[in-house]
Amino acid sequence: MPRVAGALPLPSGDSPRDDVDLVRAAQIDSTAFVALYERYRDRVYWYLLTRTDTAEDADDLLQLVFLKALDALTHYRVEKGPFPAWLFGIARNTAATFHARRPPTVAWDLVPEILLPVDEHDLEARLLRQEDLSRLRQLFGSLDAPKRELLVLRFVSGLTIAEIAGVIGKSEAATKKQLMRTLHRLKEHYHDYTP
Amino acid sequence: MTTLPERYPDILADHHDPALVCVVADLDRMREIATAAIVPPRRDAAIRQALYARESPPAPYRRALPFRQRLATLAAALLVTLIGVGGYQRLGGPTSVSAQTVLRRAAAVHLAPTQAVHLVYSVTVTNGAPIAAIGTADAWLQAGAGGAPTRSAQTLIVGSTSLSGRYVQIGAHVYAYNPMHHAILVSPEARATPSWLVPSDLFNGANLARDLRVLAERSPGQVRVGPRQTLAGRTVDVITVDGWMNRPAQRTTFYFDARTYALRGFDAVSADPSYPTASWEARLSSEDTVAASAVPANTFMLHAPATARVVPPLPDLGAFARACRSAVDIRVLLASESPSLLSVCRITAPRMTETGLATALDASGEAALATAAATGQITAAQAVSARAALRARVSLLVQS
Repeated sequence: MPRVAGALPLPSGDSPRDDVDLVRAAQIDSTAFVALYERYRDRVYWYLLTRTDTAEDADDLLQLVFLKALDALTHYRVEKGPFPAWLFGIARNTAATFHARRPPTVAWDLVPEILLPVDEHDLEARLLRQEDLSRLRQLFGSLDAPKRELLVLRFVSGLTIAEIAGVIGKSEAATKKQLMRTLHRLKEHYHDYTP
Repeated sequence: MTTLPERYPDILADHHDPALVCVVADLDRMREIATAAIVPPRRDAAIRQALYARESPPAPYRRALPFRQRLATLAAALLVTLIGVGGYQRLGGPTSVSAQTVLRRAAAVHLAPTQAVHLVYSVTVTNGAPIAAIGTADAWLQAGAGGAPTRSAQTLIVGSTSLSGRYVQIGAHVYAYNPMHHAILVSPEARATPSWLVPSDLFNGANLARDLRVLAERSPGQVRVGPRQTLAGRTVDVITVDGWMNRPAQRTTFYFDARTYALRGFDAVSADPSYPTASWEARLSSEDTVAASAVPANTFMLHAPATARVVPPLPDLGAFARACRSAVDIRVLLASESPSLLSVCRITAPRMTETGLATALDASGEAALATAAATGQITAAQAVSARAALRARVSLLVQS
């Protein structure tokens, strides 16, 4: 079933309190971990799609990430940071290990065109969408890998700045500064790409 | 639908730069495109299965206590040891969780995609006779590509009979054969009509747990959790149900494996001495998981005699409201001395004919019989006979 665009659970939509309850339940009973899997499956998957060359690789890594998270769940401490930061940290490390012998990549060709939510019979809409996609690819491609990852974590995986800080191991202030700097850099180049 | 500033308050709250808003809007569109990708259902099911099947459940999380508190705890433990408090060892025994928790976990048990499991239960029935009847319940469950059971087959043999009951489910179609009545029930009522003390698909533990959860929500007093026990060397969670299946005097106790939540057995006894019923005891004696391709041929066939009578399916009463565009409760109508169904139907659907209404009411039953015959669960002759009985019943219903 196609996912409705805009249905991504953004940071403000998830309650940290719920996360804490779900984590504690899963720490006592591992079968309760599936609720956390259901909550974060898509966001982790979208992130992994940007870190792998094929969807099959992302599928494999997705399973690995959640099994690792389940195994390590007893070591997670709520007071050390939000659960998404911890989980995406595992995803990031897993992807990094996967790419250990390859140069680090953060791809944007993550969605086959056939999956794009476009009415094939509406030629104008299709062309406009392709144009948008082309501009986005150019914008995204002008950045180095760490900055691209930062944008993926914020805009694709929907993490808050505090959660991203936990993933990349920097302070919240430094992370926000880096994100804003990246956005301003894109803004400066934006007019170069805008028709 | 939220606005851009609502979605990105951390970025746009302090910025009113239109160019920055444009960049964020484009990146937000990137999100929309990225989120079109979904985890393939087969992989999703496989991951869930892998998570459930993880062998070692994590130990309960223990928060690190402050040093002074740890010292106090240590002192208290030492004191307990020194004075030798009676019953101390019982503190370390297994504890039970709530009935809903046990049933929720049991309801979540499922196979890996295209996997099958063969369960054999030993069954003992005591009915006041000096010698109990002993037998087996043989159950097969097979999962589809998504991991959910799509087929099941159960055979019950107790005492000197060669067959006490047979039940088959293929997707939404269910069939049951009761040798005592030499009758075949065709979906949808076959599942709900027990051929003995318990529902036909009892040994599909996840289905059973789902039914019990519904009952527990509706009537919490009827479903209780008991202390954990050991059953044939396994720790089990115990769920006791009073008056299940509309048998007020019956008490049924189910045993779910405390680790895997598979149904390891049950006991059914009369809880009312003035209303004695047969006592049942079922215990899981073997469990084999195999690939669907290794399931023996014809496992999911009913194998009922060609001479057995097929009980005609019930008319689809819900079709009355749809066909007649009527808000009248057909069950109330049938129980009253009101005019015929056709007359009532024509109030809201003046052009409705007798044939049209009859066709609407028996369509689902006829379809079920056609499927049963096409898949070889019943013979063509049995289907013809049952169809005629169904039509006669519906015709009577429409005219009366």
